[in-house]
Amino acid sequence: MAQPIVQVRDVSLRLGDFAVHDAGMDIREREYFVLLGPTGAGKTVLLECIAGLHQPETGDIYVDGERMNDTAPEARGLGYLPQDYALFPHLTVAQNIAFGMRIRKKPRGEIERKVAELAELLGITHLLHRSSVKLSGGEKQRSALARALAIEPKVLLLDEPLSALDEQTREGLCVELRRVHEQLGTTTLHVSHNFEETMSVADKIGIIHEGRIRQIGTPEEVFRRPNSEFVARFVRTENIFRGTATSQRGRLVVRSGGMALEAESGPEGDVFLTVRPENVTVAAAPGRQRVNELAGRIARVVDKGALMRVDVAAGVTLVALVGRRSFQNSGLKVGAEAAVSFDPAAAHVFAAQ
Amino acid sequence: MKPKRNVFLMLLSLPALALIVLPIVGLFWRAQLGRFGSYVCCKPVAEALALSLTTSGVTAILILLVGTPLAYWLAFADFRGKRIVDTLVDLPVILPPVVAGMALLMTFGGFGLLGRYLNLAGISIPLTTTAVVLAQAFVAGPFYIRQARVGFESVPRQLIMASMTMGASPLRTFFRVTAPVASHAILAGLVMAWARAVGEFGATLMFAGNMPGVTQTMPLAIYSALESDPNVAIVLSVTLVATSFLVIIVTKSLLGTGRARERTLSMPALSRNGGGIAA
Repeated sequence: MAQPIVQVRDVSLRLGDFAVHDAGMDIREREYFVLLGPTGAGKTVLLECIAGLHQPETGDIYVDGERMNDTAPEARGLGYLPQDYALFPHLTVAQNIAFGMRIRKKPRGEIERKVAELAELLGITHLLHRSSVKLSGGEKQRSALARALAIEPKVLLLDEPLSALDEQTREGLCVELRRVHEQLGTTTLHVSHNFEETMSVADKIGIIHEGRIRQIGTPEEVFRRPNSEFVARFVRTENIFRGTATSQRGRLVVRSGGMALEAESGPEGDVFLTVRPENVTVAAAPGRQRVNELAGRIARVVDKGALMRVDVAAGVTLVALVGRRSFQNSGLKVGAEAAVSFDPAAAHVFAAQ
Repeated sequence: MKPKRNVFLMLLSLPALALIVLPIVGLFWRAQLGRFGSYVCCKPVAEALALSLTTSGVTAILILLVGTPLAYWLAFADFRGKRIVDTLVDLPVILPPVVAGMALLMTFGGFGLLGRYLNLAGISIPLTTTAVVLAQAFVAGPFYIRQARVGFESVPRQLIMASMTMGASPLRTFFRVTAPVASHAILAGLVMAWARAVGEFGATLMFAGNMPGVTQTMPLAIYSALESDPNVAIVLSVTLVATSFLVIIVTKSLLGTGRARERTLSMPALSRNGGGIAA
């Protein structure tokens, strides 16, 4: 496999209240990598460090195989989209997009062609001659994205590109970001605190917490097989049980608070067992005591729109996400007796630290 | 606010307003505006006017050139003793101009700190037009530096970072982004400093003397004319009042349209030293 285009090796730095500890990650060419973490996790600091705006105290950053620690930001050839877009207020949209190319002394004709091309791609042709101050959030975002792409960066760095936008604009722009990424064949590093946003664009996710990268994997891996309690909670696994695991007849049995839950495989000893709420089923009456079935009462129902979140108190609380229609057909409501169950194949078990 | 209370507040404000406006009215009342042209064209007035315009112009350029790096440094760098530097920069604003003149004499005068070496090289600054410029720059510089600094501080860091990642060196970023974004504050500061330079009196008198055509700027000419021809003094005064008024309007509109609106310092700095014109 080709060498990763961005390599971050054991990078540590502290910047006021924010810190990054021994961060390591690889981004491959044409990959859409999302660095996901809660506010204050240090993700922006790490992104700005890659952009060259801060120096790592220890560790190395390589871009395209070249060590970048001592390279000035202007010499790194990276496209950077800051959180508040940072469009130059004294320039029009077209001048903003052309900025990087002007600095690079590209011929006028080429600049004009490129500006037109990017404006077309992002649907902002009608805004080109407007002052950048008078744009809506979404328009600013598209303009700033065009500006960052104009220098044909080796890597596009996006710092919370969607956080300042309303829900609807955000969904539209998520699709847009992904489309632009694919159409231009760019490599993208996107920093986000929003889980849904991340799932809809990422090829690969790095989860960062308290300055440490906790897990790197495809959305599927991070989503289904979190490696720590933090990641499990962050990706909203909801059903997380700590217990002791032993192998019995080719199956893994996890004993937790008087329950014996089964999984297909996993480590033995002190573990966490997790089940995603969409893999939990709720039925009206207890069945014939199947594997991983618990009897209880419905404690709470939250309407999530297309889905209903059902909390069932069965010694422990199990959370299920059920389709709206099927929940309504089942006749279940708060206070009713119910049986909850999940398939051993849907359970994920990992060692507790 | 209720209309009644409004009227009460207006009445309370009248004495202060009268204190400012009455002297101006008095000045215009005595001025023979019909003969304005003939006075302005007479030699001493024309000379003083020309000297004031050239010296204050040179001063403004000098302040722009040497003041901008300092303003930028104070805006962006964090260093030990920054508060001391900051205080030093503001010092000339409240220093009595006569003291400023003394200080300049002690530095550039024949036996001064630098003057003794300049003398050896055959250069003497006191009582020359250069001395006028130095006196003006000393007194007016802080007005620009302060305002430009606030302007630079109000430029979002993200803009500077974005510019650098797009390939612009720090110097190009300054000329292409930081300075244009802060241009309103820079210009306002420069206009204020220029106005203060035009009105400089005390330091100029002490350090440069009062020689027609060489160091006699408008305020000094007013002072001299009072003894010989009060009408000339009045005409010059009226001219300076009109200039001050214009300067304040220009500055206010610059700061008003600037993005640095809330964070810029405004009129109190101007009104010290009587609007910057009459020292």
